[in-house]
Amino acid sequence: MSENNLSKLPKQISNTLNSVNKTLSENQNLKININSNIILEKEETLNLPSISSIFNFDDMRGASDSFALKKRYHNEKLLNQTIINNTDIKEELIFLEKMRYELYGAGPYIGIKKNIQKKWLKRLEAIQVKKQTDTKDLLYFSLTKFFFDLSQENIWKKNNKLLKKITNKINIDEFYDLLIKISSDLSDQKKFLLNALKTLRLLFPKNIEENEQNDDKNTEEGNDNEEVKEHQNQEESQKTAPEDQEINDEVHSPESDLNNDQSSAQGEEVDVEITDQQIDENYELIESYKNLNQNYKAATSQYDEIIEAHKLCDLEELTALRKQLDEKCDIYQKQIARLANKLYRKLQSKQNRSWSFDIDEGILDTSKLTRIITNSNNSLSYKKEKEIKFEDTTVTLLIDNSGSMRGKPIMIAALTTDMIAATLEKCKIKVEILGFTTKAWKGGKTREYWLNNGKMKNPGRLNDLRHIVYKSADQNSKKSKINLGLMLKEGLLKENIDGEALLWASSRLSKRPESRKILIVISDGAPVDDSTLSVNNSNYLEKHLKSTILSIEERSKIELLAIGIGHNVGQYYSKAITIHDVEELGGIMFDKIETLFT
Amino acid sequence: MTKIEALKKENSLDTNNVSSKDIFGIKTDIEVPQFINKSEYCPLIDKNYVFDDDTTLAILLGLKFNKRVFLQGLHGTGKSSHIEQVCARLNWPCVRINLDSHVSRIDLIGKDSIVLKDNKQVTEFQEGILPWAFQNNIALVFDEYDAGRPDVMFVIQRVLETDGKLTLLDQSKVLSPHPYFRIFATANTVGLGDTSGIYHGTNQINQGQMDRWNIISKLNYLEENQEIEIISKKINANVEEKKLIRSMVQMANLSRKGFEQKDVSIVMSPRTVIMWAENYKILNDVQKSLSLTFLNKCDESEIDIYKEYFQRAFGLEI
Repeated sequence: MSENNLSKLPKQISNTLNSVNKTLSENQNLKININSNIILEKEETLNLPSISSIFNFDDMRGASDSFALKKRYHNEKLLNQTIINNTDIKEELIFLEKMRYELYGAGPYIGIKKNIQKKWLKRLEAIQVKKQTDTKDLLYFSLTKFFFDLSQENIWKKNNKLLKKITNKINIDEFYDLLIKISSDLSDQKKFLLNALKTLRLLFPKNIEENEQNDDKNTEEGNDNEEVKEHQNQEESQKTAPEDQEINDEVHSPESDLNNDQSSAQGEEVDVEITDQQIDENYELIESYKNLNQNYKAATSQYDEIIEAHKLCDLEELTALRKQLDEKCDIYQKQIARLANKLYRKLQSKQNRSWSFDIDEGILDTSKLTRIITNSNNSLSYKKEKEIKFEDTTVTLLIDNSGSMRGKPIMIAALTTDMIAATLEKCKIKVEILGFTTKAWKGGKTREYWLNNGKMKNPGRLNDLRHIVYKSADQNSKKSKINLGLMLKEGLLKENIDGEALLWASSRLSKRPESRKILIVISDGAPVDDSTLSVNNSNYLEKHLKSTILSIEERSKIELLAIGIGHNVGQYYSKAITIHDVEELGGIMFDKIETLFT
Repeated sequence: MTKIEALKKENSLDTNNVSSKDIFGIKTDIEVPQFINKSEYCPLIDKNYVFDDDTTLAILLGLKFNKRVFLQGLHGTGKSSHIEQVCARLNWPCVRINLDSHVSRIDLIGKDSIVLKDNKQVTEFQEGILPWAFQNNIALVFDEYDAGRPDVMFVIQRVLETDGKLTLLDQSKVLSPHPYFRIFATANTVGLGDTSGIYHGTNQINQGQMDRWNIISKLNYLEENQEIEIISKKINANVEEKKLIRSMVQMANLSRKGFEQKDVSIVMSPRTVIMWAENYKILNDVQKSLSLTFLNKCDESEIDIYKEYFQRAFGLEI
């Protein structure tokens, strides 16, 4: 195995393997997570343990290839139909079917075959270590060995030792014939299962199977209770190798509940519920929103500030912070850079480069020079490449700089917006990056002012706003790059008052000369400011946000879009996406931008 | 444009009818005309060329029944070479024009140019390629049809109609088409603009014009075995090399599927695989020849994926 794979991060590996998986299985919905302790296949998600001394990159490949082949060549329904009537040999059937699709699918690909063979070898070793005292282990061992030899085009002879071991002498011929029969046609799952069933029934006849097994085991283990034995078998096979676990998982997987991927499905459900609710609210409250908007006020706005990022922090610190951002986000950077490249190509291909001919200035059009010679009255003809106004657009990215965004969310948000700005700039689309938070935690000077001026009732917003310009639309993204480091500054991220921030961003945007205006808000929670909320209604800020959104969506030309990180923004914005894992942010953002422009 | 001599019409018009099955090895058997005499514009025959059934049939229909044939396909699938090879075997003169955005109306129609006559410079109208081909038994192929400038494309519009006459305004002349004049076009897109994001510089084609193409044939990727056969023939592969070529094609197919699923942004075209095989013959090192042919032009961040594809197809690390 190649050494360089060891040094890679799980996220990178899972991305790479997942791409291969999707390709092999021709199923785009597959996912790979590297986060569990055992190999766990669950619907369209494969959970893998991370690389360790007992589970190396080759094992990972084997498991992931096997999963892809299963998705491509295996029909769960057919298998279940067979199992229903034969629950006593369920495990064996699942096992054989697994061998089938692994071997069949690997067929033409040398590399996949190699990966699968390595996986089988590992299983063989694992069983061998335990000494083959158990009939089930012996059966699995023999069958694995049989298919392993088969994959090397080495078909067993009738006098094979293992074959003798697993069968009793009476049915060896019949068993051998069936085994050859099932191995000869791997492409047809239905036929295979039928034959596999026959083969297994030779070893475990129906109904009297219990006696059979007892007979087999009497000599070795005495008269153990059958149930206990079953239980032991399962436990042992779990210990043996991660692979054996998979066999059981398809039917019952207790751990799967811990799987975090289902959260997205849940999230959608929640989305729907709240959207319904929102519609009702909208009908009832549209008028009251409009009024509310007028009610919203700030105790004083003299302490608010709109500030450029580089003024909040000296250059040295900013450089260090930016460096920190780049280092910490090394993994995502690669992923995001890829998305950025893709977006760039997409946007580029939408542009039509063209030339205008027959004009009075520009590059001399040599193909028309003869015209002057033939008739000196003709004037020189020039051509010029047309300046393309790709999209007459400004995109504003408004980032929630509240305390809850600290850590990974803010880093990824910073990185993604940075890349988007750089990409769109290349396509002559203007991008503005803004952030919003407050200057203080507990109301700051605004609250002091209020306290000193008689503590009026219903004072309105009671905190000093801090609106940060990371990159203005006309600034070059290379120059503003460093500013994004600011988001990592300790103590910058405080409260979030979304409504006013939105008003600020949209007013900046509406002043832009570009005809199309897009505002994308990235936020991770409802507006919160303890100082304000302690003296006003608990939904004071929220109502203002809703009315602001409504007025932007209804009354301005701005296209408003929100991305909520782990927080359902669908209740506020009509165009909203909620993501549950901040790592998806990059993908979603680029996706959205792409759809906005294509 | 250099002066193009008119072909000798008397000799070049005699044809034999031959069977498509015999000549191209395709399934459908129709009789197609074959010129007895070869002209200097006939392409050279590539003996190892493998014909794709559908594409060849489309081209033959175009040649036999005077239909306008439009071939769409991803890059490197052999659209133009298909037309060339069919024409080569039928001794049909074939001229290819790249319709880049600098090809202008006068290039196609013709212009006044200076010529020497009796040691004196005189100007004379020089016919462009279109009127010339129009009056001869030429199969005219417009490559990169979707890269042409929209205004220029309208010049072609008229001749796209079978029996459409071509009027030369500069000379006040009306031309009638030669009975064996044919038009083909090849393009990466079907005229609806680029949806994949890999064909920068392609235009949408006016639907009024697309409508005039009688036959539109798609040649995307070839079947695995067919591709293996083509490449094996191309590099004269022995048994060992053939095994490698199978793996090469498998890897290419993985990259194509990956491209469809948007995991990778560069596909390995059949042309890439041929180059890879050729480079392999020189270097005798699969990994190195792959790097030189393909990996070095890939997006850095996607190389890991290609490396995994390589492992799946070859069972080797790169």
